Amino acid sequence: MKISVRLLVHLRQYCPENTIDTFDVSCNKGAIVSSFLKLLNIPASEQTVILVNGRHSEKDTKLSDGDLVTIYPPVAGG
Amino acid sequence: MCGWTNRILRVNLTTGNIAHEKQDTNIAKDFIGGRGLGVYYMLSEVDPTCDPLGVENKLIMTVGPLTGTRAPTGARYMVITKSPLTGALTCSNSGGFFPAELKKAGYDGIIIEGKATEPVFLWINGDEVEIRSAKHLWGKTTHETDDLLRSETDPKARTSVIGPAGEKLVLFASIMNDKDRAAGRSGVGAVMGAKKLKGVVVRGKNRVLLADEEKFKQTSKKYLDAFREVKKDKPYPLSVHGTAITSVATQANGVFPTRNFQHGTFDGWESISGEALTEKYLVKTKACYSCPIGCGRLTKIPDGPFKGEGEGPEYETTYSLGSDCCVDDLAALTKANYLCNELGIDTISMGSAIACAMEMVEKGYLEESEIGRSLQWGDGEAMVELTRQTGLRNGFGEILAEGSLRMATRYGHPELAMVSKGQDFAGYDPRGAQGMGLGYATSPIGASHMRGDSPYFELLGVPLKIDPQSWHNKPPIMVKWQDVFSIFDAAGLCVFFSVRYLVEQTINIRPLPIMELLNAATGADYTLEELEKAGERVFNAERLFLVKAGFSRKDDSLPPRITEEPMPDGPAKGLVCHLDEMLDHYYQLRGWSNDGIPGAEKLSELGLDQFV
Repeated sequence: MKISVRLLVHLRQYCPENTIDTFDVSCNKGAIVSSFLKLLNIPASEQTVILVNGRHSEKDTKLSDGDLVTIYPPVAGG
Repeated sequence: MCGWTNRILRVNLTTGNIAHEKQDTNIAKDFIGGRGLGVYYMLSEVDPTCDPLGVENKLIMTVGPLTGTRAPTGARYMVITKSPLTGALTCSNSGGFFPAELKKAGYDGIIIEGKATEPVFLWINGDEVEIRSAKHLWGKTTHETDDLLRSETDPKARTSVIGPAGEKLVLFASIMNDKDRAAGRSGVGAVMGAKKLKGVVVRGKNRVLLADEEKFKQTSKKYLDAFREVKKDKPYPLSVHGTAITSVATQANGVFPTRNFQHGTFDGWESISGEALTEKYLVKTKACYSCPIGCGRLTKIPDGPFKGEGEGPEYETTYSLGSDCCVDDLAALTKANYLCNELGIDTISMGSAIACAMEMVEKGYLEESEIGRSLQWGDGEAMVELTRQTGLRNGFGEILAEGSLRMATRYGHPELAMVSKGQDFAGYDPRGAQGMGLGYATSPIGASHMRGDSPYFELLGVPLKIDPQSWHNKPPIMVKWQDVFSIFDAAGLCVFFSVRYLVEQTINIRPLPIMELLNAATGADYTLEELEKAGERVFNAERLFLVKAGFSRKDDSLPPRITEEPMPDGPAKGLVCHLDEMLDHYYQLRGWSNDGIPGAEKLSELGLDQFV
């Protein structure tokens, strides 16, 4: 299945070249957030917040074809 | 004891009397300082039912035991008074350099009483204190006033002043220190204006005495090193882009207030984001006293109709004067921010009032002829002009200056004011961030994100991520966070560093590192339980003031848009805020009645029964 990924702020450096907003990643049916993340090029040392279709996710949240995964660093409030 | 100066300055502007008073050390320990000390004096000395702009109200400025030390972000002071916007107690917090200077002048706080007959300013040069005429400064902007005051006292002095908005009693006028740092909320500037006090100028040359210098140095270094380690290899978003970077999270979660909270996402969000600000207008970053983060932004609009330079905007301003008004022109909202700083206005309430007026025009409740100009969503030029008019109370600014709730009520639609206790929301829609809804409703100062800042755990994953759309689990977290945030404000620390490095990184954020710093600074030997109890005491003392002023559950409310109208689109689509259900649980956890009144047992446990 195909998942759209949007990386924000400095995490954009891990997007494939020429990405404008989102890029697509293929994964196995039934993939969960933690296994999907391994397909991305984001080092484990990066602190991230991961949303699925704009909603809160856990490591074991199941993904569905066409989902949008948004990942941003813990930017601050103010 | 050390850390505290153990001295309060009391100035009566009616009589001209100036007194130095010894601060009771037990009270200092029980209320910590800053926000806590302020509410102690308000409860002890001010009638909660008094007219906020009358002679009975007092204006209190306090610092904490860590203000002016080398504790990371020990830069804060608080302005505590009864608010003319809300009728509740307020405590408005600011950093910069004025607070550390006040501490170094030898004061834990200033209590300003009475009312002058002619404009005056207060000149505090260490132990020497004078009330001087400010007739020549009346009508000047905050920037002009800062320059003039320092030139006629001491160029190295620091100032805290009002602009024309405070003089003209704009109900959400701010007090600006060091030109561009704001004690912004709840109209503290109007209280200062009502007292005919144009400014406070301070010069302090003492070092803050510490109980255990070496231990304090080591402890501060330990937590600074933890921060530096994180920052070493990676960009730290708050340092690189300032607080305006927060819209990345609010937009992604569908809680970025748009069109007066009619929507939770804004199509033009990238045009007004922290990244856009960095790319287009940032001149350099700026840090407050003893701050390793440096989230301040010196910016410049080089040309065009909104040409200017100054500080800002912060995230809250990009919401209020930006997305909430549908303005995606970063230059326009930055210009309006400059005007707010110079005229002395809270940017949050300013933008929120304009957004409310825009919606009333859209719905046909307010005629543009009444405003004297067109006012459509997204009109940056109109937004800038109305900001100017409000600061000077010209034209329709007279109506806006009363705040969004009074304005909306005047035109028969109070439900369109996005407020709690009459104070405008911060930049998070509670339908998609339920904890924030509970936070707005139970904040003693009216809607504020800074009383248990739930976006940290709801949107940013600090210290861990909790589903923002869930509500069952929020009351116990908010109780804990509100109490610990009271400790930050009482100690004189900034939230931004404290919430990540000066509390344990679990959802209960126990303030063990702050306890270490406080004990090394003061020698007060706080236990962790005593310190947490002090935070709870401060929060309950504020509630007690509100109860005495007539507040109860009926005032812990949110507009029907938030509790009854489901979010129409975006990630929070279909949701309302479950405030009533959360309140029941929240009051129970607090030891308050179902009507929101602190119980006798709780007050006795906290030693607050003396104020009943």
